[in-house]
Amino acid sequence: MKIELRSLHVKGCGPLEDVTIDFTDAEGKPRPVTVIAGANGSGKTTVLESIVGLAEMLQSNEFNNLNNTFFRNLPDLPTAIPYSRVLQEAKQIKIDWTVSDGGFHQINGLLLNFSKNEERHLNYWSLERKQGRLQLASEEINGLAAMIRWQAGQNITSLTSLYPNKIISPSILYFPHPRKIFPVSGTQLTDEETRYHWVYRYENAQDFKGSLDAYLCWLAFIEPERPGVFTEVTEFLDSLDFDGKKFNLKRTKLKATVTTREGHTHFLEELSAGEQNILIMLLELRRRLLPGSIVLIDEIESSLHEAYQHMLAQALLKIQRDIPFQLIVTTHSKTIAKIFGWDSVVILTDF
Amino acid sequence: MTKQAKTKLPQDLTELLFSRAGRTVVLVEGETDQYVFDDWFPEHLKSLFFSQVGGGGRIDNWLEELAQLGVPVFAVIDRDFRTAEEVEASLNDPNSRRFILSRYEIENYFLDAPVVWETLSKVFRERFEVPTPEAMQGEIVELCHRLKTLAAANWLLWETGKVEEEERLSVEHEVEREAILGRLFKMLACAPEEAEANLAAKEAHIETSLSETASLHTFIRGKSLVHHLHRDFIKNAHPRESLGKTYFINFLIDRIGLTKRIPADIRFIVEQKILGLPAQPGT
Repeated sequence: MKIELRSLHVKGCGPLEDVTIDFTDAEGKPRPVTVIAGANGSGKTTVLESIVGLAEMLQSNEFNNLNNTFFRNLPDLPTAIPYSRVLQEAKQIKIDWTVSDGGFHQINGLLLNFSKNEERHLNYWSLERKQGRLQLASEEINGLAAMIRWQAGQNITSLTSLYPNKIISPSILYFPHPRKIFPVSGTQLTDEETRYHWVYRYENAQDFKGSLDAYLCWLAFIEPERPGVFTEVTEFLDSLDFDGKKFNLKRTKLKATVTTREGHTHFLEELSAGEQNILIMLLELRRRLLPGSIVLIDEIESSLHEAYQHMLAQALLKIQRDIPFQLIVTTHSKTIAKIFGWDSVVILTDF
Repeated sequence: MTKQAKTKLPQDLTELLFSRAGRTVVLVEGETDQYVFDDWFPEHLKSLFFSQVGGGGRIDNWLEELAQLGVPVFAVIDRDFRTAEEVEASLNDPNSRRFILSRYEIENYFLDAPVVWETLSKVFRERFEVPTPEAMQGEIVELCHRLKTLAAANWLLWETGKVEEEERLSVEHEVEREAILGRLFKMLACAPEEAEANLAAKEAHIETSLSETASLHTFIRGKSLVHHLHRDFIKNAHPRESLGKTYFINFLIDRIGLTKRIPADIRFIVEQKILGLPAQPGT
């Protein structure tokens, strides 16, 4: 199954007055990569937040308002998703996307629409193009939402191994800026199995759960039961080639470590800001990326020298060749625009 | 407020809008122009984006295209052989978006004798043999006299309106009068006698401009002057020192920026005409 953004219309939201962003190429097909550029304060982050905020609603419990038996039989999500501030302020946000390539709901021209005029009453409409005409077809969006709710919280590895890829709903992975690895506080190991989220938002959380440090500890802990899981990940990290640095674990302290070429050892959070930026994105994608997903990265070049911008962009393109996904990034870097191609650039302007 | 998300534009336009990021665009002809404006007006780079378009012939198209998109845009172009009246008109017209430099081209603004003398003295110290800025002025005037035939020939070619900038005669060609004449009458497609007479008239006109510092840089191409200054005072005088022409040019430009000697007419264009700032006292 594959989800692809075609366009986003945002009205009266932060710095975005009334803007339509086109994610398609010259032939009208969704672009594999879109680079969003513009001055500081032009609304690049607002674009990403709008996509994420609107998508998050699909997994919210308020979706139960639709009187649909499918939903009644599904458990509530563990926690209610807080509505994005961006969405609360907006006059209108509208996403036009396509869901395709299998799945138990084949949906074309899916449209989500949220209007503030309706006093926080959230409406979703999916429009299906039939014989050239758009028709209301809310069952499809219900179906997608039901699928998302059904998959929520399930172990990704189990999910993908139990069911063929085609009937797995992809997800939206969002990397806001700034990104930082926080140190693990405490020595209590927690369950760091990678669970399915329809929308996954990387957070600079200073708690144990969800940190990459904790993830590596967890993998090392479960390796006796599942041989190779820790080694595979550390080999992946070593292959990123941060000047010959090697990744490991200090078991007595339950802390992931990095050993430099010169033999000095330090903790994960002591990597440079740029190295942390790359590490977060590539390791999280390795953990969570499902085929047909959408990946959003805010200020992708953050703290990265041009050389590492090349390294990150090439790594993302390689992953994209192996596991197809739609990539949407914001940037101020001409290097990034050049690597992904000038025809992938969308510029937010004041005229 | 952001009003549009531009996409599917030609690559050069996309690149320009990417770098502009909300700033007013000032189109300039070449890389050196862009370097000069960035170097001399660092305090205005938050508001202005100087963008080179790769030659004066492209300026008008870019101006029109960007203005149609709604981009705030101006241009600063070389004087070439335009008249003083044309220069004045471009500066006095309140609706003008294309301003003409008072000197031949941007290079002519960093080739005043004191700047050249200070720069070479600083680079070569006691090994630089021109004793004073006044003596340097004499060297530059002498050089201009050597280049006047080349300038006169290019003026005639300019007047035909058919010869693109890159097809004009340059220092790579001969500077000897006979050699220039030999090429000129073919390019003008006229009789040698007619070419000779026209060339002599232009030479006489240029000759008068060389007697005054104010008009020294009106007809003689700055790029040619740089080429000869570099050859005579660096390449030939200090063959073991590998100071390239580009570095020499950058040193000259930086010297003006560092010593805050920004030419008044350029400051007027940038600050009053483009930014709309009030005139500074004494300018």
